[in-house]
Amino acid sequence: MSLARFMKYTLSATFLILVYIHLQMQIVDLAYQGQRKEAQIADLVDKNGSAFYAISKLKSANHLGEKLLSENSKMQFAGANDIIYVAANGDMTSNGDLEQALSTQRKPNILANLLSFATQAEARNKE
Amino acid sequence: MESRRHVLRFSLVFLILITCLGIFVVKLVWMQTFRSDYLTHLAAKQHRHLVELEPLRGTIYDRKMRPIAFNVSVYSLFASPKMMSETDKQAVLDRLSGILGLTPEAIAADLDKDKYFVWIKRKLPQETFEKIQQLKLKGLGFRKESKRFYPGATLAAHVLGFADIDNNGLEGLELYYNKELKGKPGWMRVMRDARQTELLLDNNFVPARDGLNLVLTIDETIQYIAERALAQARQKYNAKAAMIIVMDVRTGAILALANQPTYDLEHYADSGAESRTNRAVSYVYEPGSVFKVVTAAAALQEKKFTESDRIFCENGKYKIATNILTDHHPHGILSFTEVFSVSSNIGVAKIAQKIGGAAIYQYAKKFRFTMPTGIDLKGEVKGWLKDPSRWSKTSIGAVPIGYEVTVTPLQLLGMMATVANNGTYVQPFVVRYIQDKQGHVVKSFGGKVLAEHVIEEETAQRVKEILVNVVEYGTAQKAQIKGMRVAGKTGTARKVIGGAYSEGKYYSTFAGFAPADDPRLAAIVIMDEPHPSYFGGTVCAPVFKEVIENALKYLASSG
Repeated sequence: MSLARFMKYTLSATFLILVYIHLQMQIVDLAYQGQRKEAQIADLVDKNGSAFYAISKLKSANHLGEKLLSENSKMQFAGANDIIYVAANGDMTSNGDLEQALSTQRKPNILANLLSFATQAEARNKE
Repeated sequence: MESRRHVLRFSLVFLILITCLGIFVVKLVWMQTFRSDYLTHLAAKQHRHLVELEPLRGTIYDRKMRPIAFNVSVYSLFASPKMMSETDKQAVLDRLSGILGLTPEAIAADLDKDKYFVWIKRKLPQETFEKIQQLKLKGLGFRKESKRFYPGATLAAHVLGFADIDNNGLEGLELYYNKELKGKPGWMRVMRDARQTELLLDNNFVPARDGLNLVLTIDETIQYIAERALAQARQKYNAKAAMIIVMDVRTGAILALANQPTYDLEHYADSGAESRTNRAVSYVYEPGSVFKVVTAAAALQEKKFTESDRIFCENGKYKIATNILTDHHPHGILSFTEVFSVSSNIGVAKIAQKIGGAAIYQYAKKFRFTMPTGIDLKGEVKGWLKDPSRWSKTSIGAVPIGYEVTVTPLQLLGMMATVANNGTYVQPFVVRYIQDKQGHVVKSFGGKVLAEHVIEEETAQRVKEILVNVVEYGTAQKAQIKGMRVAGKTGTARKVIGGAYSEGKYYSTFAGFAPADDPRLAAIVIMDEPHPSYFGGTVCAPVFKEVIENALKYLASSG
């Protein structure tokens, strides 16, 4: 084998080895970057867990009950007579206005008003 | 002469070198052949580590999928005293005791240990962890663990129970379903360099299998309504203890179960055994007049009486063997229905004398007294009732009115629900189903019929009417709910203290269901030693009314 040929093979082999090492380095580097991202995500998940606990505690029946149902509170559970059932329609879903929804739901009709039985809640609403 | 000296010197140096080489060779051969395993193991120990992967304990949800017990990742603080200088230790003592709420002596005791690893405080709150992390103190480190949280604090404490710092269930459902909730740990083999930095090479792992979730029959809102009403009544009547159970009559699903005194699940170590006892299942007592429902059912089912039959109640005093039975108010002649409305002991004893002790015993067994209900809670006891062959001459005046028999509150509720269910006994339960992390149902429970035709449907309807009468005209008028008929029975039983019935210490009970015409909910309320008022109709019936009225409103509006 001539020296030139030997050098050519050697250089080629060296180049391939360097490319291979570079790729390996890139892989390991990406893996470490992934590990760092993973740690960041884990940190966010932890913070989310902590926030979830705080929210759960605030909205638990015990906490809400203490805040809303104190000794002199006028709040009470709504009975069937306290609830107005309104079929959702365009007007209501667009602006959430109960008054408007009720007015479109029940067109004024003197005869119907005379014969209908409104619930306590509906009666209160009309007042 | 000179050249000879040179040869000698050269030989000496050569000999020394050869000897050294020989020693090295021998040492190498020794290490390679005899010490190889030990040294390989030592090297591997320094670089390869087996890390256990902790599974996430399953979440417990109420019936509307509101999480009531779950795990969140937290950090635990450790120190490496062997790697800390005295200055490092002093810095830790100065700056940590205030943040951790520990005395400097307690921290110093840990830091004085001749160890590489000691826990300083486990499972820190997030804010504390962040504060300590910012201090960047030498020799301290954090390890991530998961901690059990109960956002409702005392809510359903006796049902949920709690898990310890290592996530092992110790009480309640946490204990009963510990195997399902706990999951299975995994492991990971990691390589570390000389500075103990984790290398991303040759990492093998088996992932942890997280625990399964439980979905309960308990409704957080109804549970709160029950706990609040019970706590207020207990305070008002100065009771030693109190308990309430609310059950869906049709399915046996327990919607609420509360005990007083109670305890905070997040600080369970501060509570005593008294406040942790689940009286609903682990506690027996003589129920008193509530047990008269068994006598009424037996008398009607055996066709020995009709509702209009008249019974002379001896104007308040009636002798059975050596005992004189009394009524709280003397009564003359009462109808069968009125006997139960006013809860006449004498009237019920006379009914029992006619139908016989064997029939009372048989129906008590049919209503599953002296048998556990099989509810999925730890520590259920079964109560006690003597075989009629061993009854004394006075037993016929005691057992039918709820003495000489011990029951659990849940058994009494089971009896009431059976009447409401037209004679079908449905098993009570607290876990609706077990689901995996993806929400797939792994196992479901409930709706198990333990006994059909405990009494005939027609008899059940007649007993219901008698119980409605108790609420409308009798001892339980404070259980009335506007707009619906309520059925129920009161009980006021003397406590046994030191082997004798006490004067002035009572168990007060009210058990009932509503609406009577289409029963949806059944509930039992018990107070231990209420005073100065102590009648079941006075102290327990109003709690029943408040809880059932609000629970029915809530169910009607939320489903």
